[in-house]
Amino acid sequence: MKQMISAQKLLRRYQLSKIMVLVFLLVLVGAVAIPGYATGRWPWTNPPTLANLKQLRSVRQNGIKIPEWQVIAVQNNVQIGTHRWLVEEIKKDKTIAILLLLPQNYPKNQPQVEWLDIDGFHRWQTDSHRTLRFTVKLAPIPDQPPPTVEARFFRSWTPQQTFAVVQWYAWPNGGSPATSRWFWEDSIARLSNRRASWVAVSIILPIQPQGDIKIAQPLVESLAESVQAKLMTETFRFE
Amino acid sequence: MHIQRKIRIVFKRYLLAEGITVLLVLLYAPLLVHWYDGWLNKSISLEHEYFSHGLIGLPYAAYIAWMNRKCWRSLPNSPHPLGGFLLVLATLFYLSRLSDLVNLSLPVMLASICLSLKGIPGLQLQAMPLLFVFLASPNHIPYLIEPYALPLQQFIAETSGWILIKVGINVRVEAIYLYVNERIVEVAPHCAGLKMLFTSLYVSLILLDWTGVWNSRKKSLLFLVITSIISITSNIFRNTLLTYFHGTQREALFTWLHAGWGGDLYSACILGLLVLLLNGMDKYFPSQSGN
Repeated sequence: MKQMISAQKLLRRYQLSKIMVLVFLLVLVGAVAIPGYATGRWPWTNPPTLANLKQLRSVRQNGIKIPEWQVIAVQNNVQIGTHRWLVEEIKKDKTIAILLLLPQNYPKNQPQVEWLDIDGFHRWQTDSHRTLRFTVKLAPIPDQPPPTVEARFFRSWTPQQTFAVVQWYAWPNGGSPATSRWFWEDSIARLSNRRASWVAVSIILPIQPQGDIKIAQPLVESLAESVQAKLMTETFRFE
Repeated sequence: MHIQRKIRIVFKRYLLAEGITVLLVLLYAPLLVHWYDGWLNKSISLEHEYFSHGLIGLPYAAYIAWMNRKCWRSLPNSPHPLGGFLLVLATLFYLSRLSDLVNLSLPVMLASICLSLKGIPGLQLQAMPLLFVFLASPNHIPYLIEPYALPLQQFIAETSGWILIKVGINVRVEAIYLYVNERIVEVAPHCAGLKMLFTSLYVSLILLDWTGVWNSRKKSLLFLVITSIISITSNIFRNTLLTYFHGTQREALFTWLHAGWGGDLYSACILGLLVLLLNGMDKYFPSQSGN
């Protein structure tokens, strides 16, 4: 008798478990599949679009204007690796810097190996690699810490010249040289039906032959901050 | 009263079991069509193509799951609570809109159904098909590990350069770049052979499962190690050929092997080699039993 009851109990548990599976599957069919079949639009065929594609294209064509820096020359569609970059020569007092920008070009475009591409393009040697951290001082948004950016900072040289170089991927509320950081940022944005668009930034500052990049650090840091701030207020504004 | 009971019996016997299958097909058929479309037409992304071994893996998984059906029916109906947890997880994944999570929801959902109906023994019975589905669910892990392929790229560039110099061609290697006759060949992350390595290992798993060599752990491990070595070596050789074609201005051959069907043929030959290898291993160590 006892055994029969437990067998019955087991059967009921089994039926319950089966019904639970059915209920969950029905919820999904109702929430995603029926609208999907009706409209032909599925979540995986329609990822969130880039709200600021126009602004990104404008950077690709015309570059950006940095406060206090004078633009000497702008060249777009410069082939570096497999991508076409924007190259901007800028000047402040007697200092000249080169700004390389590669904005995201279409929704599926991901940052890849831009830093290697640049190394290959310039065929330079590098050393003194370190990480630069800076925060961007814009009008603060309540309850949100100021955006922090990490960038790679190193010295590079060719037989002719020595440079201090800063590189990072900028996105709406921060930046990092690592593609994986952007990936997580974008994934989190996708969860709320947005995207984290990106711009690859490379600042190249000529320095004394074999000079220490520490001397150049304050200048490149303030320039990097201005670039990130400019991108945030103009290029990423529509997100 | 009588009719009501009949309805209940019909409901219990057919609607519950068949209902699950029908709903699963409704939910996942469009996703699988999307996967196959991406693999056959290369229309989604490079990361998606890393999982193109699913082209054969998914039908194979379905086949072994189907062959297990008698065993499955004979298992006692004993749900495991973990099934409910995975069910909720798979549902959330499916609703997330994130392509990686939606894709991952398929193996999680299938595992949750195994657990919800037949408990741990059910999961164990279908472990291999679930593994094959899981390893064929496209995600962005290849994208995340690509930056770490740099040492492998450099190794490939160095070795290809070394071979070409031995053959008598003037090559200079700088990091991941090969310079031949003032022409540059870049060993890009996609050329590092990770895709071929993953595909080879996946196909090896299928072969091990198919031939039953799986039961001998030593032999399986040896086979997987040799597979990896073959895959990496063949990729170095392919890069050497590509550099040679590009450097000596044989553009047609370069394109054929790089992006044309030559690359696919090359991969198919390597996979064919794996079949021969397993056959050979069976011949030379027939009595090596598992432990």
